[in-house]
Amino acid sequence: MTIPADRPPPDPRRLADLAARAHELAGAEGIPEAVQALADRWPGATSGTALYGFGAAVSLAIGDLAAALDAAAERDASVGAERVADEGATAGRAACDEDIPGQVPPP
Amino acid sequence: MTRVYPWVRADPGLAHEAVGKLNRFAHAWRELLSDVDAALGTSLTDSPGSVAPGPDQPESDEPESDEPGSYIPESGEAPRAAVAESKRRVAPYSASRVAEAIDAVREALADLAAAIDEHAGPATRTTDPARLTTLADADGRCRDRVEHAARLLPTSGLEPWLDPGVTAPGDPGSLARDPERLRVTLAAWAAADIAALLTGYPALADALCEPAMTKPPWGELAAPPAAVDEASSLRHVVAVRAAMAAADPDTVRRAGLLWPRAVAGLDGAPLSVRFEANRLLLRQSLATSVDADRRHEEAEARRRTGGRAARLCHAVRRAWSSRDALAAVWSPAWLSESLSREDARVRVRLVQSLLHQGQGDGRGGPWRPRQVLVFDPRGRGRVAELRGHLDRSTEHVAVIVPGTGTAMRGFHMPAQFAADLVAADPRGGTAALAWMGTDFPQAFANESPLARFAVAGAPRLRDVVEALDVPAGADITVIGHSYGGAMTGAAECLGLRADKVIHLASAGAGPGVRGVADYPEFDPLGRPRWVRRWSLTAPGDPITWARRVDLPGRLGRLSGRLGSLSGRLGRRTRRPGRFAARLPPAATFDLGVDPTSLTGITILDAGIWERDVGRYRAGTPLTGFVGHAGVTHPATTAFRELAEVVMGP
Repeated sequence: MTIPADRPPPDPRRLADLAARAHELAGAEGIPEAVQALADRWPGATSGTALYGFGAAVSLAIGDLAAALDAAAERDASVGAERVADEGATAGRAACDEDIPGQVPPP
Repeated sequence: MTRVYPWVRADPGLAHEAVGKLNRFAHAWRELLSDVDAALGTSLTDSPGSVAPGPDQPESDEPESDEPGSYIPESGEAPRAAVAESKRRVAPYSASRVAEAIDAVREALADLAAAIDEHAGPATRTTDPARLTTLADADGRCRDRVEHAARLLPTSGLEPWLDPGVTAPGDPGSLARDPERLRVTLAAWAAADIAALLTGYPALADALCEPAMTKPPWGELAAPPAAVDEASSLRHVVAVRAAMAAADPDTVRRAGLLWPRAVAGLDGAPLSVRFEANRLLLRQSLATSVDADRRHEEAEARRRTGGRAARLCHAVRRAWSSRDALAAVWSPAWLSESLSREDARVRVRLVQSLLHQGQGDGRGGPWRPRQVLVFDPRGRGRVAELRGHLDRSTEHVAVIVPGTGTAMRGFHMPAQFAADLVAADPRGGTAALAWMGTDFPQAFANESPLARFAVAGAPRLRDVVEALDVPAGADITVIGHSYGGAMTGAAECLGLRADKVIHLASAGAGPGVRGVADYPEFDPLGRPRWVRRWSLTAPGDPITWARRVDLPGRLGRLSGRLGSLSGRLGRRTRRPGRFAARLPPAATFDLGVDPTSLTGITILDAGIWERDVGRYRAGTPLTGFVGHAGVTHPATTAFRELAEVVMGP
């Protein structure tokens, strides 16, 4: 990462936190959910497809920023970061709870 | 002609809700950019002062040249520094364009919502042709504005958000169109520099994800074995691992970056290299998803305007695929082979989740990306994800083999199961693989009774477990849920490497398995197998009905010629794997005996819901149809017992 000469090196933990926020915007709670839900529930409207494409494109663009921040944090990370983010065992659990009845049909 | 369909169901509240979400999103985006600026000294929040042209105005392909932020290197300045500086100047423009695009979509949606409010009303039951025409026009205008906004986004992958730290060799756009030249160019680069370059220019990574004309190092090893059978594929895993171990780590990582499609699913390659390669594939999959969605829309439009037969077929297909309960009972070939638009969109969400959702490791470590071991969106799709750490401190490894109905749209279920298992270990010493690396049956009437899915998936399961590089001293537990139990049994017949096997609501002990003696005592590499087995099924689980059918077993109990015939059909030799090639037709319905009848197997009790979850109250017994999937839920006794087995001695 090119840093202006008069600035101290960025804190890798802060960079990692920024990267996590960018990832969240790109995929977890960002435009994909806001816009794609609308597109999915608006069948047949021609704007639905465009909205869907827009949502995916925004996710892609912001995801690239998130990846760039990840890379920057990795490069600068000589100390460990402390952030705990287990989205899998919390947020994802709620989604699965809704699916329990009959989600896996018997053979 | 104005179509009525969208508007009789259009809910203006949806659009208003989306506008509100976009407001919050735009705010969060600007906040993020501001914080990035503060942390890095960049100027992402600086607006270049551009005014986005309207949908009817031409756009400039080279916006940087006339923007206030454009950079003209001074004479004598190092070219590399000049390039880096110009890159920093690109990012503010990109950032501002994202903000502009979001604002434009927000306004377009607000206008559309207002039009629905005015012309359809809250009841949305209008059939007045004039109003419908007005609504259709509003819809069209909204689409135009959204499409224009999408064109503002920096999605080419050729505009670095941040300086990647290395200078692109030549023109990135030209290299992105010629992957082979790109590989040759980067062949001498250090892997870390290639990774940095691909992060800065994702379009180059997308190009490398295209099928390659050339092969990575290690000759034939880079390609999967021609035959996936009882022993050759396992030997292939061992050979790949040996070759990779002998190679320079930088060379191995470079191969994963330059030939991601070849290395991402290569059993035996280092897991970290596979994770990195799969992330490239995921990003490329997302980049192509918009085009795929548009193709679906065009195909649907063609069907709508086609003849009666085409319209009827389309209606039947939509009706069938949109009703999960129906598709879960019977999955006709024409349905399973064609990806519906809804399925495609679900896959996009999965990819976004795999790319951007973090994973915890149970140790309180930093945010980490999800570790995707297999990703192949072709056909029914294949995914495998590792949760937790696989290193010298790992004590237990669980491999989860899901059951009927598992596809990319349902991958969150085994993935969640794996995450819950990892989180259940207070010591943080458990890793879990959610494996969907083969085709699973999709419907219980016409696919689940067939053994062919288990037979086809068995060698792949055995090989991926072998490829996990489980540290010495750690034990491996393979959990086969529902149909996955039969697949796990089939893999056992091929010498699956496991210390413990759990048949969880299992469909059977494996195709052709009539007893423990049908599992080999040695694997194809000659290593002894010592496997302990458990079985857990909730009372009243419908899977028990399927076990009772056990056609080959019933035939075997008949006397005379029938018994002899069925014995031939059902009994397997001890030589693992051979049965796959010699499976008689009748045995295609044989998923093996009820696992609870296996000698030495330990039966676990499904127990109760131990805390309130949705409409299930604490203390309620885990039974019936809900119990089939409920056994994987961490709020149940069943899950606690599973975790104890996985994390036990």
